[in-house]
Amino acid sequence: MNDAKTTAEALPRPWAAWASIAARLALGAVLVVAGAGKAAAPTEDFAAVIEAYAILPVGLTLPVAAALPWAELLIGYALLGGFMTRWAAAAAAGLFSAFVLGMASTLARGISLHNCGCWGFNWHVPVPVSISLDIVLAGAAVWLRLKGRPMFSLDRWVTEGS
Amino acid sequence: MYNIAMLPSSRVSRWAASAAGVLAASVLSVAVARGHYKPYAADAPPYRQLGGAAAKVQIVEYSDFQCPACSAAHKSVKQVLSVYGEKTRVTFKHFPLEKAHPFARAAAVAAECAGRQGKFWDYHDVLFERQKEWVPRHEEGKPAPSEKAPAEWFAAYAAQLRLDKAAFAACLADPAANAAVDADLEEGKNLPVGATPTFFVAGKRFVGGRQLSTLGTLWIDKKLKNP
Repeated sequence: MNDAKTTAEALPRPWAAWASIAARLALGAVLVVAGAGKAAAPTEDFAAVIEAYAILPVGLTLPVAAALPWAELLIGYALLGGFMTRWAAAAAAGLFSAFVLGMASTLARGISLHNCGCWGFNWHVPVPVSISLDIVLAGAAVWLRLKGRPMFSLDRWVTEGS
Repeated sequence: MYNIAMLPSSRVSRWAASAAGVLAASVLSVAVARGHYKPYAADAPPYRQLGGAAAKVQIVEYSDFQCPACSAAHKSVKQVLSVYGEKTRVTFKHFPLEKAHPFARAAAVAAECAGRQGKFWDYHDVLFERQKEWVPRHEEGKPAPSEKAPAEWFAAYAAQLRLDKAAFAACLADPAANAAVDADLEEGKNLPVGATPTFFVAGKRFVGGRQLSTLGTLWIDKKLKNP
């Protein structure tokens, strides 16, 4: 009995592996689409969106506007490929949490954002909807960081060579 | 021919290959999404240019009369013109974002028609300063029954500025006025202009009134010292 229980506990749970892949694809796709759209557009456009949040000093908006889309892209592709998955998931959780805090702070301060800059420049959704989506995505990223499995991933290839 | 021996054999080389793949995919995505930028022409009808004829710094503004950020930036443009006077020249280009602002094109055409009678800047000022008056407050962008339609406001502003009523009406129906807006719009899309207002100050891009009045003025100072 004891042996059987131990074996069952040691076996990887298939649903967790498939859920990891689903989480990686969903998080990765969102970050790649949002990041590519913003990185391809003029940096000043995204800087103007960041300015509307009234959080960063003017001198920092352009550097952040230049770096953030590339961070989204790199984290997104890392998740899609399953490369350094746990670190990428932690970074994604940090990004989505920061977006949630940023948008919530504008609501608290009565700032009306015409474009939250969340999903690239071609898809504008109301701020409360964006906050809800970001909370779900942050949750998925945290789960992937803590419980994710490396099936069909570059991490597996790097460690096992197959 | 594919050869399994070509795959990285050590853990470090597999890690490096994976990192390179992630980086290459990111760069490729941006290159594909970006496409090709095209150069812009700073020309516009003389009635849409304001400031010194021999100004050292040219400012080209792509703007939308129904956009709240453009209305707010209008103050920054006026401030730049008042501070730098004849040293700067502003050229206005129409960039109506029609999906978000259904009356922006009509406003642009009306301003264009005012321009033909030599009152572009007066009409431009009225449209921005009284934006809340002529933009319908109704949620779907349609005027509520009690509200005046934007076209009625445009006619009223033309009357206030003593424009020739018949010539103004004829111009509104003239395809050439719409074509002038289309030409600016097409030019802006090629740059690309992704948000309004976008300013090109001596060729450098600034988006929004805040960028113009902070980083933009520093840039103007620099260009005036070292043209």
